[in-house]
Amino acid sequence: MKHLKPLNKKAHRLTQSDEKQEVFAMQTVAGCTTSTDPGWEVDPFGSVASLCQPMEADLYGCSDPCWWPAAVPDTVNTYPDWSKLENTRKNWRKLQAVFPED
Amino acid sequence: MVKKLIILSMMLWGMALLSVSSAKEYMIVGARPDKLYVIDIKARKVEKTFTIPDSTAPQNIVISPDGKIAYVGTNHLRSIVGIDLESGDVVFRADLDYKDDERTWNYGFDISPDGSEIYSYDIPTKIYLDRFESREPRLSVFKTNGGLEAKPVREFPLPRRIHLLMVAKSGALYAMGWDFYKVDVQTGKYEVAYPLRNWTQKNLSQPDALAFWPSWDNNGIFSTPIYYARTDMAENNMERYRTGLLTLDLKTEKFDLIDFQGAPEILFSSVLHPNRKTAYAAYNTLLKIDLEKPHTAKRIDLNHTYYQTDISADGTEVYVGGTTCDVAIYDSTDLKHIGEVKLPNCPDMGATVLRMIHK
Repeated sequence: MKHLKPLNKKAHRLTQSDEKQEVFAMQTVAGCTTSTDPGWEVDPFGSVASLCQPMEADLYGCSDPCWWPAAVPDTVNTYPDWSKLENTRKNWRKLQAVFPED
Repeated sequence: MVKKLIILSMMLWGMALLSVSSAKEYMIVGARPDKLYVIDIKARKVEKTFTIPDSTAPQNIVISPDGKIAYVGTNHLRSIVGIDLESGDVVFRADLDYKDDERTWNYGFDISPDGSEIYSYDIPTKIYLDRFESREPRLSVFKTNGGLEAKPVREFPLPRRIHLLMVAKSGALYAMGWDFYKVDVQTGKYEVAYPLRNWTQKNLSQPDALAFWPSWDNNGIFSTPIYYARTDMAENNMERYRTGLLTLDLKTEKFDLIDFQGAPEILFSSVLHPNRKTAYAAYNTLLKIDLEKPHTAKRIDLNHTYYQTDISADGTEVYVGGTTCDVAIYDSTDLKHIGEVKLPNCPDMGATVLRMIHK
């Protein structure tokens, strides 16, 4: 943790907490907001040829197990209905952004 | 009398052969949000479409040994639902997060050889208002006659980071994670059957694999592409980065690692030909791999990404599926495109798996 600098209130409180527990890196837990999977913007070779083609082919295969935690809503806990769209290659424009509810 | 017995036995043998050859081959796949399909694969036709109640995102599929029930992991990885493949009736359901405030995520399940028990790898998380608490992953054992509110009859802790379960012919359970474990389903005792992250292979780096796909229905052998580096080679030598096939024979329970090429591409899944002399692997490309003199014998570009590779029982056709709404079919000898099956209304398969059955 010495190389990480807290940026928000919650992170500051975490660094001050006495109850530090083991963190299980790359461990799937229930919910995309907690996932530490990085997603990928380039392939392991630094290129894009080995990304899924087209992107829509990978959309649900990656978003269902929270592989893209930052790029798509948390369909496990908070936005389970976000991804009911069929035929994403044709209908991808209908995919919507989500916003926190009051 | 002896002559009569010989004739009778020949007749019985002939009838047995006839019943095998007359059994039709079907592919079972799922698709979002709630569909399960029975495909007459040689006719290139969807024969049946079932709707899975209260389901989103079917992924893993396990078929009962008699080929009559498909157990589908669905409902955002939180339920296992058994669907009768003739009638579409729901005959089994286990909702995995049945404990208070737990959100449980299933990453892999399989069925016992006699069809009486389902083994499920469950990852529970306790959800508080201000935090999530990651709890100990467990093996949950369900009776398949447990009805529509099935609860586990046995539970055992298992290591973290497991993602694929498979049952050998003997009934032993194997679990692939950061290492390959063998689990006693009666006592919960487990041992490392084949080390992966902790392997000590000479001059090989830690391996990496993404193995979610069961492609052992028509060959009896698990296989997955696996990546590693030759630590005895220079870092600027591209041959340093290697691709192999890791296999587990589900009859003999023997593992094998077959190095067949450098690492020019990503491969998500593989399947062995029933003759075990050839394998196929796919993602953005489809490879034919010679296992006798291990090398890539042929490579073609696919029309789009596919996750899973599978093969017909007679070894003549290679199937690729998952991701979007089509299963593409290739000749296993020359990888020529020979057909496809499109799912009605083009629903996304996502990470759903392909299974092969005969009936």
